[in-house]
Amino acid sequence: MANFAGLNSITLNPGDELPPLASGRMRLYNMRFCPFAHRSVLYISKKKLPVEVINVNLKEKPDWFVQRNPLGKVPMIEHDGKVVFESLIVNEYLDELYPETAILPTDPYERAQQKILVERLSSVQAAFFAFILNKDDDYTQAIESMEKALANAESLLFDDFYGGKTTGYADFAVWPIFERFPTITLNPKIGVKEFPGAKHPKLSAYIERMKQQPEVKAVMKPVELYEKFRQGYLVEKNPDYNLGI
Amino acid sequence: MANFEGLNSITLNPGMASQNLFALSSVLVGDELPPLTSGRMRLYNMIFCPFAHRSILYISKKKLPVEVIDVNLMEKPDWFVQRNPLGKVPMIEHDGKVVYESLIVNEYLDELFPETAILPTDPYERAQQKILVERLSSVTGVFFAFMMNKDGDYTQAIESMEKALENAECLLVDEFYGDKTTGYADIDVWPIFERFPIITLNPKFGVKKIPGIKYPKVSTYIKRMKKQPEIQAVMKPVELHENFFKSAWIEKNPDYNLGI
Repeated sequence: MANFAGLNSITLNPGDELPPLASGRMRLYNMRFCPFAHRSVLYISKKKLPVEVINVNLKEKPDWFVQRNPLGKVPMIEHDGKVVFESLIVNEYLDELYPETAILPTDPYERAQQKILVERLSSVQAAFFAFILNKDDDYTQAIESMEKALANAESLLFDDFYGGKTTGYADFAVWPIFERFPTITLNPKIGVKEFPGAKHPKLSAYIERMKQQPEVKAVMKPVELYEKFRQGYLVEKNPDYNLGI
Repeated sequence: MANFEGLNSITLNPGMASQNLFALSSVLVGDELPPLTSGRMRLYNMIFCPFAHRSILYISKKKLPVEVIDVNLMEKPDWFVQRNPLGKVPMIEHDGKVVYESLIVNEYLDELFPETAILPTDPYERAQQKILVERLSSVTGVFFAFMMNKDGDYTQAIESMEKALENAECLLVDEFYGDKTTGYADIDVWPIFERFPIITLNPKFGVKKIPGIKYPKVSTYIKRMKKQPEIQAVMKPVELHENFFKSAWIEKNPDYNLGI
């Protein structure tokens, strides 16, 4: 994708030198499979901002990473000596820096509604993590939470997108989870064959529609790759950050 | 406080003329919701809620003319749930529009009334205030760890408290988290600092002083905050906070009329 430099570059480890950042250039510190960093990757993708990406080893964090962000989290934006982190804070910051490509509405009430939607859709994220962090192979609770979360997400979808007629702030907040959720159908122990399933027709159509959006397609990864990463990261405790490169 | 109507109001009985600015309080299920005039702004509140307190402080500092409806959160009135299916306070209503979630409400108020903006205008400074709120969130966690503890073993809670206070101490680089004046992050975290002394009132918790001598900056900060007019105007005595938490968390029968 034209605006990104290094989106799928080799992950940097402790001891790897950090290339200097030219004045006026913007950099995103990323992890290739992180759903939170993915929110900012989508935002930058839609806004077509020229950004260079540094992919970071989050298991063993390089010094230069922790120096810039003591919390050691991605996504993180850096430009002209300034550092901003936390995905939703980064996204709103990018809109404030580049209002000509603003994704958040300008109207205060509409802005608030997008942020409230993100809160109201947060159960989708919690439901997904219940599956991937599951330790005892009993997925009854996780499946129940998922059905609730999907019913909720279905009821909140009034238009083509959560942002209205076009992909918006709330869509980019929740899409990384929807892109990863189908991994649960790849694990026979979970017993879920379809996602989101016939009970959620609006969501099913929404997910297909999102996959067609250029900004989403440009940075999308196959479900099998996410599942492979999960195996390495959570099961073998040995994440392969460079899968798929 | 001049801009608030109804912030600590005496319950109106039918037929009773209102004596002063204060008009409504702890509206119970079945109580009729007074109509909201066009152009007026209303805050749905719960008298002791720390999250609603964030928006009370914001409105207090911005001196916005707002009427307050105190809601019974244990038995939520229909008109409350209709406006906000999540049934949470704080909630702002004006001209048919409803906004909730304390931090979303606060930023919304700054966008509606930029002349009294508390958040900075510079994008980077705004982001830093929001990041501070995230970084101070462990303070809120600590408070609830004590209040919601079930097994009587407070070792973990005390450990979390020390970590959170150490963190808050190192993040305080000026007079306030908002620098030279109370800001978005101060208002976000103050409701918990105001309630913190509850932890010292209960001998079971085993905490004699909070924040304690290990945290001189935070100790000075708390004293400084208590002097700020916007804080003072809506502050409640610790004993009142404590009595409410006892009624709500231990007796499971919150007394919304405490202190009125």
